[in-house]
Parts: sequence; C-alpha cells; structure tokens
Amino acid sequence: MRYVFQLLGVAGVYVASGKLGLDLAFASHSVTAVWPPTGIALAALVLGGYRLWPAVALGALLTNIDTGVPAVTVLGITLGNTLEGLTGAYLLRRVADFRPSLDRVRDVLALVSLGAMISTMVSASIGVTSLLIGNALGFSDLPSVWRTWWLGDMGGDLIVAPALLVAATHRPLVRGPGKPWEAVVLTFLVAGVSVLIFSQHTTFVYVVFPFLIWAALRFWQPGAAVASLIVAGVAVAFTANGKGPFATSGPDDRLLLAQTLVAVAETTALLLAAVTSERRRAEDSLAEIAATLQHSLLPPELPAIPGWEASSHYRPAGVANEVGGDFYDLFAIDGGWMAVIGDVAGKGAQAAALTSLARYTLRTAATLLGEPATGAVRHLNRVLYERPELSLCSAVCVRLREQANGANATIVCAGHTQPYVVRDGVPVALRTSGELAGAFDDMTLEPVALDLSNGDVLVLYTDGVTDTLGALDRFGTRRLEHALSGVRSPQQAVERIERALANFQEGVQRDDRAILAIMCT
Amino acid sequence: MIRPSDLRVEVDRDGHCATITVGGDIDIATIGSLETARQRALADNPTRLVIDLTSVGFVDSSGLKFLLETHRLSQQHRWELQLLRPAESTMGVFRLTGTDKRLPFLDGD
Repeated sequence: MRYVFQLLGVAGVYVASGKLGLDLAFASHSVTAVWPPTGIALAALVLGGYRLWPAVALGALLTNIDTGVPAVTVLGITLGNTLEGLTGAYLLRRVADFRPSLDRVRDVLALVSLGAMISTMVSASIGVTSLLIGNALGFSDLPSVWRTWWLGDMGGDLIVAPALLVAATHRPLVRGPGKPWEAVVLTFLVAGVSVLIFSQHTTFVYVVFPFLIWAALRFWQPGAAVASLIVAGVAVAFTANGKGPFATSGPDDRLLLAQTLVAVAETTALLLAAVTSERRRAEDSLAEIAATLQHSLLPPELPAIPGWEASSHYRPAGVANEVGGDFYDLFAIDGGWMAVIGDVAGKGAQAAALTSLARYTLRTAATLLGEPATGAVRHLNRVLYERPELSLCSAVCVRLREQANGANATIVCAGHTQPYVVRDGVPVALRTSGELAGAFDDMTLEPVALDLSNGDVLVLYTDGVTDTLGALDRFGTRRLEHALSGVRSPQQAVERIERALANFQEGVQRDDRAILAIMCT
Repeated sequence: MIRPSDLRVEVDRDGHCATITVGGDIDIATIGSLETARQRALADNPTRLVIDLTSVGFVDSSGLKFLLETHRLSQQHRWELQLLRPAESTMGVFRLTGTDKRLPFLDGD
C-alpha cells in the first residue's frame, strides 16, 4: 500500500512539474527547454530504488498524452524518459558509488557527468526519434530539437535533482556554520539580486556567483541547492516572459541560456560545498583521533592512594586538538608506588605515538621488573635506541615505599629537569643526574635515595615549564623556586606554578607542559 | 631589542668543510631553519661539519634532538662533526641530559 502511495506521489509531482515545463515550450509542444521532471525522476530512482520506475513511466505518459502528437510518439517519449531515469540511477549507484547527500566532490562530479550529461542523451535520442516516427518533426530540425531536449533534461538533473537529494539526506538540514538570521538575509539577497539581474537587460549576470558561493560556504549543500533553486525560479520566470539579459535570443534559446547559467552556477556552488564539507570531515576525524590519542596518553585521573595526596596539570602547546609529547603516570608496583613524568622530543603524530610507547614501556617495565629502580628506565632506553629513527625521551621515575612517618623515595632521572622537594615550605632541587633515554646504547644513571616526611611535597615537571618564554628571558628554575616557596600541598604547588606561568608568559605557549606533585600525609 | 627566540643561521661551504654558524635561541619555534641549514650544508657531501654554537643563548629539547640526530648522521655516513661549545649558561641542557660528554664539543675560540 505504501508502495502505491509512493508511486502516485512521485507520478503526481512529475506531472505537475512537467506541465509547468511544457507551458514554456515553443519549438515543439513536446520539447521544452525547462524540464524539471528529469531531476524528479532521477532523485526518486536514486533515493527510492529502481522499483519506483512505474511512477516515472506513468508520470511521463500523463504529461505527454495530450500534447497533440500520435500515440506511438507519446509511448516513445514515455519509454525515453523512463529509461533516462533508470540509466542515470544505475550509473550513479553502480558505477559511481554515489552518495545522494552530495557531500563529496566525486558525488557532484558523478551527478554532472553520469547523470546530467550522459543519461539525458537517452531521453533526447529516443524522444527525437519518436517525434520523427510520429511525423511531428522534420529532419532539418532534428539537431536543434535534440540539443534543446538534451539541455532541458540536463537542467532538470542539475537544478532540481540536487535540491531533492539534499533535502532527503541532510539531517539536520543545516550543519554548516551559518546562522539562522544569516540564512534569512542571504535568501532575500539572492532573490533580490536575481530579480535585478534577470529583469533588466544587463550583462553582469555573474553577480549571482558571490551569493551562491556565500550560500555554499556557510550552509553547505542545502545552501547551494536552495540558493540555486531561487536563482533558477527567478531566471526562468523573467526569461520566459522575454525579460532579462537573454531576451534578444529566441524563446527556447534564451531559456536554455538562462538555465545553463544557473546549472553552471549551481555546479560550482555544489562543488564548493563538497570541498568545504570534505575538509570539515577531515578536520573532525583528525580532532577525534588526536583526542583519542591524547586520552590514552594521560591517566584519566590520578588514582586515589590511601595516605597520599596527588595533583597534576597537563597543557599541550598549540591548538586544542594537537597531541603533546609530555606525559605523567602514577601507579602501584610491587611493595609501593611509582610516579613518572616524561617528555618525548618532537611534535605531531610521531611524537604522540612515541609518547604512548614511552609511557606504557615505563609502566610495564616498572610493574614487572621491580628491582632495581633503574631497570624500567634502562629498558625504555633499549626500546627507544632500537627504533630506526632517533627516538628520545627524558623522564623521571620515582619509586615510593611507605615507612613510618613518611616514605622512602628512589629517584631515577634520565636527562630530565630536576625534581623539587618542598619541605616546610622551602623548595630544594634534587641533584639527580642521568642520561637521556634513546640516544645511546648504554646509559649512565645515578639514582638518588631520599626519605620523605609526611607533609613533604615532591614536584615533578617538564621543561615546558622552565623553558616558557617571557618578555625578556625564560621562566627558569629561579622563578619556579619562587612559585614553590611556602607551598604546603600538591594542589597548591600545581596552582602556584600555573599562576606564575600565566603571569610570566609572553605570547603563545610553545611547548607542552606537565606537572605532577605528590605528598604523603 | 632582540627577542629571546630569534635565531640567526649562516651556512658556509668551503670544499670539504661546511660550517653552520648559529646565534640566538634554538627551540621548537626556530628549529626548522636549522634543519634547512643542515640540508644545505650537507648538500656537497663534506667530510667535516662544524656547528658553531658559541653565540647560542639557549637550547631546548628539540635543539638537543637536532644535534643528536646530526651526530648519528655523521656516524652513519662517516663524516666528522664538531660542535663549538656555547657559553657555560647554555650548556645546562647538555649536562642535564648527559650529552655534554657524548657530543663532540670543541672549545670555541
């Protein structure tokens, strides 16, 4: 039952728009320069499938039955129109892997070439032959009638079909950046400019292009389709009444000229919309990949450890979706805890992959190896050194074992900025030393053992903190020590450093920053 | 006033020896011009590359990576790398990472 309604609906729209087109026919009562049904048939068969062909056939038959040509001609034209739609739909669906949303450049190109240019030849050829057979056309008129038929059908595929395809597939209709008020303003402008151009005998028809481009860039496919429909409606209405820039040509020719102009403009707008939405999709997927990577690089939140307080800060440089090379981690190991901070040299996706490798290598190695505390860092060095390209990572690993009134810390530093311990509000740099991981096949490490009392705050940070550029120089350790003076908790340490950096920094942040602060209570 | 992040790079090619003279700050924002300079300096396959760091005021981790990369290139392709040592205040990053003993530093004049 639903199928019958679909058929009747499509056939009804087909007939209505066909009658409208035939009203504008001059050369022959069966051949018109404006033939929207071609676009309706193509859209219906692409969206609803080949099974809707009876609707196209019925619509074509009813439209042409009283045009005063012999029955054999009417049947021929009906056959041509039906085959045209089926050919177009087949080529688009099978050959072009066509998406009716038109949001890829290849979809627009397929519609223009396979749909508008090729499938329309079927209808023009069969139709003209039918006219010849029915003696409704002389041989001498054949070329010009064929051309009018072809171009008229092409106009239907290029102006009507996109609007239907876009209307059926875009949910929500407007995903572009344009605002509702902008749409209203733009609609009036497009209509106004179209009326100005097509009501006067002027030659600057190209003035419509900026407005169609505006529509395409801000409202994507729906914008391009709707704006083109407005231009097409105005153009046909005035041109058919002998007004506008093409008025001096013959009745069929001037409609063809006006329609070709709109078709070219629409194709341009659709291509532009496709490029814009393709780029947006690429950006979106890039941002999603970056966000996913970023998410995997940082612990979602620091674990709650009984008897400990911890606080962290991470801020990658550059725009929001860039992945940084800094990382930190805090996890349980045999007999205690491991706090890690690290920095991978480099930028972009390669650095992100390396960051992930470094973080999980350290975590796995520290969990499995246990003793000595330097084992994890040495393992990381081997993993990085064996990579084909130079892969560097600086890191600090702190192994924490709880003891009476505090904890024992073993600090292993691999070419990283020196950690601080803030004891009774006084920051003290830990003079650790060790080589950068990944640079050489062996490495020298000098771990430092330290007893942390309850209330001592251990602060780890990356060089993005101390290298921050101010008006005259870098942030450096002196300002860091100043910021850490009087600090009594991890949270306070992180907040103080953040605030000092915000006051100090000149211009944009250039490098990633990470801070991890812990205290046993 | 010279912005702390400005970098001046000069490439000098003289037969078998190429020299890159650097002045200013080597960091993530300026590393690109140094990479370009290295490409130009190595274009004629010199047997020795000298990187003059005596007027460099700051080197960050990307600068360090650049020098280690260049060092690795020199070992792979068997040419000699010489680094002219920057001021003591700039050596911090090399000492911190243990690379001061590994990279071929010569005392500048």
